[in-house]
Amino acid sequence: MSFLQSIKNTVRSKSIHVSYVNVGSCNGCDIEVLAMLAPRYDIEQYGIYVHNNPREADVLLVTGAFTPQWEDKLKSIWDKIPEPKVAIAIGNCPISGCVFNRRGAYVDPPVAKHIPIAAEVPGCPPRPTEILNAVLSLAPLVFKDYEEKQS
Amino acid sequence: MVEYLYEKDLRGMQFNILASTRHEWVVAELSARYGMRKPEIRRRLIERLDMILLENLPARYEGWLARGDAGDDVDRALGVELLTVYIPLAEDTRMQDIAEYTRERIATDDAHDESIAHALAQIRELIRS
Amino acid sequence: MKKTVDVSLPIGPLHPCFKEPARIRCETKGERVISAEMDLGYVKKGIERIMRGRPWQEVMFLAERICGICSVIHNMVCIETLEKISDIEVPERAAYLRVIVNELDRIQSHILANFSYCYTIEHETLGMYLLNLRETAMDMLELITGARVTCAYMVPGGVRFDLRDEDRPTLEAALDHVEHELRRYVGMFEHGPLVAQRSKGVGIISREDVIEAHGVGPVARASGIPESDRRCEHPTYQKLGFTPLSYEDGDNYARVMLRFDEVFQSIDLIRRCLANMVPGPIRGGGTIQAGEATHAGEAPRGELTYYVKTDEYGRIVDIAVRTPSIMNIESCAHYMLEGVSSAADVTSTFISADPCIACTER
Ligand code: SF4
Repeated sequence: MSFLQSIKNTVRSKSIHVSYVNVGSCNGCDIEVLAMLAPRYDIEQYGIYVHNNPREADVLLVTGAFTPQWEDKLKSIWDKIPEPKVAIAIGNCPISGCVFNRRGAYVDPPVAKHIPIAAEVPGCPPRPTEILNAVLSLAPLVFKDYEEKQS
Repeated sequence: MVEYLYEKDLRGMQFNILASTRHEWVVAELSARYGMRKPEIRRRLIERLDMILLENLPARYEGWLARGDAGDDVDRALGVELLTVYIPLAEDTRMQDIAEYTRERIATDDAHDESIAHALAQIRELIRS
Repeated sequence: MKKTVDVSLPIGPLHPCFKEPARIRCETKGERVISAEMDLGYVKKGIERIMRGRPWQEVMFLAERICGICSVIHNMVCIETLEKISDIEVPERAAYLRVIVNELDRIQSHILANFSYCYTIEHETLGMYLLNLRETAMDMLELITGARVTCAYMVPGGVRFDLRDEDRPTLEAALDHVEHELRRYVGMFEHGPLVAQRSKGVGIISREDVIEAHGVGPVARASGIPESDRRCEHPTYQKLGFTPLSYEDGDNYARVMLRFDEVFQSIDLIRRCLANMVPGPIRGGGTIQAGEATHAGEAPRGELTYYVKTDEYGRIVDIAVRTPSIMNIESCAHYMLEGVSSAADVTSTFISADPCIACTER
């Protein structure tokens, strides 16, 4: 492992920037993502920051069954995130459409059709700790030795 | 590279808003009141109003039913405040002119129903314009 | 000489301050906002369309998922509408338990709304304190109902779980904790000079405008319309001697302070429920019959109305839901934002109306 890579590994393991996007959820999952910010869970001790700005994000949390309005927008948000990046589906909605995936609804799940999803956290809604756990266990898998894996 | 990301045609979404039960009811009431066909009313609503006002149509219409145009029969029959304040589909001054003219006509020739019908026809033109 | 320019300023759909996607298009002159329009449709799922033709057992869960923040009140109003159609009586203990859960939900929703506001005016410390306090309320919800957000606690004829006697001290302790801590935070909010500058006199909406746009809930009560509270008409609340609160100013500060005051009021109501409650059954029986009814309840954000029509098999033939955020966002977009003096105040004013896009669009 090169010296540069080891520095990058150290920095990345202590700084994970999270952004979330709601593509047609019932709000329940968004609120649990927001509750994750609370001092009780203390996400900053793991170096996670929620900025909600795709330009500086590493992890994108997607909540909600997919509504047609997002067809072009979600892709463009995904493109704006700099490499290395990863998307996590939060809740049943982006995975299967949850209760909304019925005849007559306007939704079009799963989200994996539109952007690559690396991990899924099922639940309606999942607990904040579960979301946190997913972010923490996925981040090292993706960000460690990223450049070396590329070449 | 310029991408016009947001300026999408939102008419489909606006139409979906108008498809709910309560909105159907408001559109039916408006179309009965002004003698216009429902698709036409819907088209005018979509053209003139923004999306949150469209969502709020039933509440606003109920608000007008409860307390709009109180105190004046002609205003009530024509729905002056309905079309200018509660559901802004028509221009304020033109509406006032029509109401004023109708009131005068009723005062002078006493042809109540006829004048109202005439005014409603004018309002129809106003909404269409 | 400086020139003033006219700008059309779009905010959203993805904005760091908004929990949910919405887009405000502001016409500004310099920084002063002249008018604002909203674009929606980012979370339209068509829940009412899915609900039609389904048995009430399914509709109950769909109703809860109209809004994840105030899921309890959607559950409650939906069930109460069904009960009204089929004349089902609720046992007394269940009625009190419903109020307890509903008020806990209101506490967490109001604290969350005020957290968002503090976060938007960049008072992050206070925001984080509030968010931590909210977790206590969430724990209590979980203790009683078994789930944090979508708990489906109420069923026609009663509630699903009883409050065990050994859980009562926990609940009382939690209420004391919330009350004690919140007093401190409210003091911080009241005396913070930054808060006052960012909130007082910003985003004013007058009583007449609220009536015109049919604003409800905290927006209406902060502009001096206390009678807009639907809890006054609820039999259990009447038994508890409920009187609504109100403020006169109609600015951001009044709205946030009103929410704080209502949290204290909710704590008080829960205490009164606990005192009045006697052991008894929590679930009666009944069958859903054919009929139609309109019923309204007071959600954390205001008046929530359900119109439901059922057939003899208990299926939902027609349903229309009018959520409070529709009216509140409208009063915000068309009245409060007009004349706001800077672009930074646009987001804070918008958040102070506590918009919930998910239930606006359903
Ligand atoms: S998974 Fe459940 S809680 Fe989460 S957005 Fe979907 S319906 Fe709401």
